[in-house]
Amino acid sequence: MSFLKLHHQLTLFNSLWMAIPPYLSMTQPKKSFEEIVQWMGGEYKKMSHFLVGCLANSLCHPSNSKRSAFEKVVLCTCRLCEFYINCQYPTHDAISLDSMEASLNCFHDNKDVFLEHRVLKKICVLVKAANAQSIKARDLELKKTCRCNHQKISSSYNHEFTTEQVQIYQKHTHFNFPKIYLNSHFRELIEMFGSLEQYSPSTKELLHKSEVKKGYWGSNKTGDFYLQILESNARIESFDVCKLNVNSGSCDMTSPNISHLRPPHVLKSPTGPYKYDFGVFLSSICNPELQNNMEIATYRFLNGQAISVVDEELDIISIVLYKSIAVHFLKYGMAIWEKQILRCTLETHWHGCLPCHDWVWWQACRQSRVMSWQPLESLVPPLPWKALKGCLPVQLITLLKFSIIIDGKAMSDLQLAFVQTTTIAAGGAIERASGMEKVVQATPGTECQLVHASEIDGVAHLIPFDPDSITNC
Amino acid sequence: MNSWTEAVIDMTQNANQYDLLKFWYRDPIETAKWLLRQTYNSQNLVFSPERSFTNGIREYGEMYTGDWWWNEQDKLTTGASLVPFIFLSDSTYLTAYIGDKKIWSVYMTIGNLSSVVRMKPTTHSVVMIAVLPEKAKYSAQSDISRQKQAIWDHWIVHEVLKVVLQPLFDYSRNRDPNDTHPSLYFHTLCGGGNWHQCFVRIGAWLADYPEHMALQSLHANSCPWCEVPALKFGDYPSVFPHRDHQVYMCLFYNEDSTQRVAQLTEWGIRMTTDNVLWRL
Repeated sequence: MSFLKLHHQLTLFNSLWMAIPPYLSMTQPKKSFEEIVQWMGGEYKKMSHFLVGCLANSLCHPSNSKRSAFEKVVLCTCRLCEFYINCQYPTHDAISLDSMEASLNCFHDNKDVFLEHRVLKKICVLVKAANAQSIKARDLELKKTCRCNHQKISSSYNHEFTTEQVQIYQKHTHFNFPKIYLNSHFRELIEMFGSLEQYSPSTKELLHKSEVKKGYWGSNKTGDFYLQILESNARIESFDVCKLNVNSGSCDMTSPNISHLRPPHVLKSPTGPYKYDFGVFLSSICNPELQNNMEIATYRFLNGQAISVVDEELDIISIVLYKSIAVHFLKYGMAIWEKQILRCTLETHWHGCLPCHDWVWWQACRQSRVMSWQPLESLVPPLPWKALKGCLPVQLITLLKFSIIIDGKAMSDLQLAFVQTTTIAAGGAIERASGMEKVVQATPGTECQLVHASEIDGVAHLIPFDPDSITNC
Repeated sequence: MNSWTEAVIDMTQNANQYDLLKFWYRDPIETAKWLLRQTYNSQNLVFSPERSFTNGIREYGEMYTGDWWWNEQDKLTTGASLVPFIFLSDSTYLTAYIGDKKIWSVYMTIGNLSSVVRMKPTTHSVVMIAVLPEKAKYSAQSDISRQKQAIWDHWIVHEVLKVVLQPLFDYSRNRDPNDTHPSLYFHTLCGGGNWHQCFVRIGAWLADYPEHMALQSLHANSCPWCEVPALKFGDYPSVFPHRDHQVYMCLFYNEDSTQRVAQLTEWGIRMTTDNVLWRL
């Protein structure tokens, strides 16, 4: 700025500066150049678009004596802007790095033009002292000589003083400040750590707002507000991460351990797309080597229902798989019932997405039926597991209908759900750290079960897949 | 997510203003493990360095395309992966116009995440791990007591960092100066479902200039990257050697005091307190 002032070009420069049209990515500056007191990142960015143009235009009519200085100034500014813009590239190669280095080199070769404008107070004092001395000497000489020589002498003294001033400037002013030096490491750093853009401090500023200041606004602003900030942060963070883990379309949270769930006969059944040939099924149930999870679960279920699996008695079991069911669940514990569709897709895709096995609440411990003549409070035992109220979150793999026909007549028609279960950790003991019940994945032998579809309670939300809970890796 | 731990620094012998200083921190190693095992990150994790070329010209973009990772990987055992820690620290004001409530927080992230995800606030990839105690106000008027105060502030910061970064010491390469193949690492399960053998390095510490001076215990007007004297800042092609923290630590604990003071002062290092970052 002081360079422009010295050469009486500041007003022209300012008028050009203010006349920048709001075109393309250029933003119109609101303040004139000299009014901007604090240069921030945003201002630098805006300025870099048009600074060189403004400067070159305001210095376009140099007198002969100033021509070289003007050219140097424009060159320096141009190179510095180039360097600034080059640094922001997301990727660098040898060409861009070379051009960065060349522009910085050029700037350092020509930076002497600005030397006299980096004058400190200390040097001003020196210059003033020199000025006073020269005036004293001039006055002494003027007294001695006659009047006709006065002009000549004073001009010679003036000339002497200006040369002295330049000498003082050259001796004491310098470019020894950190900001100008740190740039010289940029090439080296880019080669070592990649582009500079990814280490931008603006991330930090953003984080301050979301992590610290929001917490502070929510705190009571007294005493240990630090701890309040940290606690509210931790809560928000863990909820957000749970959401991200569940919502991410890019990865299926069940994919690492779903491969063994697939019942091989179901999809390749010769009797129809979802019909199950029981002969094949039965033989594989009885043969322990062929059994997969679904068949183990079916075998156990049928045993539990006191249906013996013997070839002669059973004519056919037809199994029908459903792709989805609609479940009504109580929203927020209020008297609003909402319909939610659960996906039970087995291995098939769902609307072009990966198979996603929804989490549902399963009533593992059912309340014993209350008879009408019994007083409610005394006889109904409370449901176990605190807030879970006897329910466990399970993953719904598929829904199926069993039609068992024995001796030509239908015995039963069962609607069942094939689920991957969880169990309560530590026998229902409350975890000390959080004061909550902990649910973990069931052991490999019993992890899949067939349960009655009526025991499915509703949708369970926000249960992330946490690798910590897998113990047998 | 691992929870916050409260720690106390005993200052009874040293300073007269306060006796116990409370602060909160999280274990950085546990935080790194937590970041690695999130499933939503699994698509964006990188465990090996790369050299990318376009038309035969080397390109530098992400952290893993740089030379530093490549060189560090050479020092590791085969099959191991590097986890570069990136720390960010900055102090900020909590109130807009009045009061002096400040918070000086240290954040952490890992270089394995691609920068697109890492620098996005909604992914929570940058985690706050410590709150450093704020500098005390200068109550004393005289210059000498002010200097004393500044020295204690400096001491406190490094004392706190010593506690916070303690888990990293166990994994650091400078445990034994002759040991080029570090034997310590941790195993962790990453979001993709694979187990990784992870070696710990500090990749970067992002802070502003005055804060770098405080963290590396340098005098004002010195370069955090190389040993340039203050009067040579104007020179362009810099010819000075990089700062080697291991040498500093050896010199600091050297018995021959006259020589080390002269040498360290020439390099622009404050002699008041031991520096934590020299050991990492």
